[in-house]
Amino acid sequence: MEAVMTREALAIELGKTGQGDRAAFQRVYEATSSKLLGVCLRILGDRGLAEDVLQDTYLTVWRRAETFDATRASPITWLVTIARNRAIDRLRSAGARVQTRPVDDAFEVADDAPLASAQIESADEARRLNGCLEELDDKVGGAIRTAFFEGVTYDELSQRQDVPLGTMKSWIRRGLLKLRACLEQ
Amino acid sequence: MTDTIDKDADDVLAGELALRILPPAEEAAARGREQTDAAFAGRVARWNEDLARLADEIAPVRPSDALWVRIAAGAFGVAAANDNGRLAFWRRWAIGSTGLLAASVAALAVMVAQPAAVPEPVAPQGGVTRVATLTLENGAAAVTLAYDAGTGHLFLAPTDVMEGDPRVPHLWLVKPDGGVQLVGAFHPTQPATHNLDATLASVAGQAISVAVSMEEPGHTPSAQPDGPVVAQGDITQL
Repeated sequence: MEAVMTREALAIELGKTGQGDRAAFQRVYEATSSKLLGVCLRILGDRGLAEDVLQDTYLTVWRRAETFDATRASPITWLVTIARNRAIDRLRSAGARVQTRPVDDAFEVADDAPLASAQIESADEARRLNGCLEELDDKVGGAIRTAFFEGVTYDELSQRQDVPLGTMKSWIRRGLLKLRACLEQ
Repeated sequence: MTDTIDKDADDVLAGELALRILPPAEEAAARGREQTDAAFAGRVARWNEDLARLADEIAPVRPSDALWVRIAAGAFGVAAANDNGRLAFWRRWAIGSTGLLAASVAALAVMVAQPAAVPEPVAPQGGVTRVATLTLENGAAAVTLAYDAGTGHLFLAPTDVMEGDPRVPHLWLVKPDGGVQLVGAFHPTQPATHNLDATLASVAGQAISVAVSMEEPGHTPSAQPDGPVVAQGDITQL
């Protein structure tokens, strides 16, 4: 069962983990591993591969927890970023052959999925991000979401949406600028 | 004007890096800049913070129980190997075991590796035939149990969930017919080995599950728990 932990409690446990507290590390794992496996599985599409990456992720967390700064980052986004980056590294490493989904399917999955992190911290920031993404053109917001959820590069995005590479870059770059402006409002 | 353009260009590049959308060579260059340019690194961190919110839409997936064993072994392996060889014993034991057992061993591995564990518990030596993980109603692990039917040694490793409770935890065996048998009180946080007498050992050899009740200090229940039963778990035969 997923342990329920507030943002503050999780930040404290991560801090203790950084000091070598094994029990705190286990509590961090219990509170967050299901969420992070969801992230890895979304990118890799293979359960065994995703669990391998999750293992790497938590070993990285154990080694790097002392660098976590609660005044600069939320603990769950810090963990999600490590897991996602590890999963993308694996996706792109030689020999990794994992399933990929068409863009439309990916949107469907994303839209139907529940707000999973509600028990960890407020979903306000997520709503704000989604509100800003919705202000972008559908195709631009969709491309940014696909890049996040599936870890694909400009090349693959442009092929999938059947637009020239330069067009995709221009969409995303303009989209990121608008997104940043919206998020800073 | 130039400053604004530079700032925008940096924000876009930082966003591209956080999104992982750049081709390898450009990504490596941007990653290098992140290492040396604190302002740029700050922009990347802010994008990471913002974009990671999208993960709220991803449904959680529970990892297999064995995964924590692998992580604990990888994280604590070196230090734990010096822990009188006890962790190595438990880890050997975990290989090829069921998920439930693996989870039990993981909890135990963490417990026995705690530097403050006194008095020194004596881990069962090889003859363990029955194990159980007792959990609270909310699923949190409370106690890991290992029983050696050959010697009557019952090894208990509590987690810290009972710490601070003024009541005294008591262990009960649940017999196949549903009746219960008190084993006795145990320390709420410290691992310990209990030696069962012949009568108790016989019951322990056949019990189907175990439970913990919390009793008032100084009170010993007899036929059944008088305080609330807070944790229970099925016994797995190895």
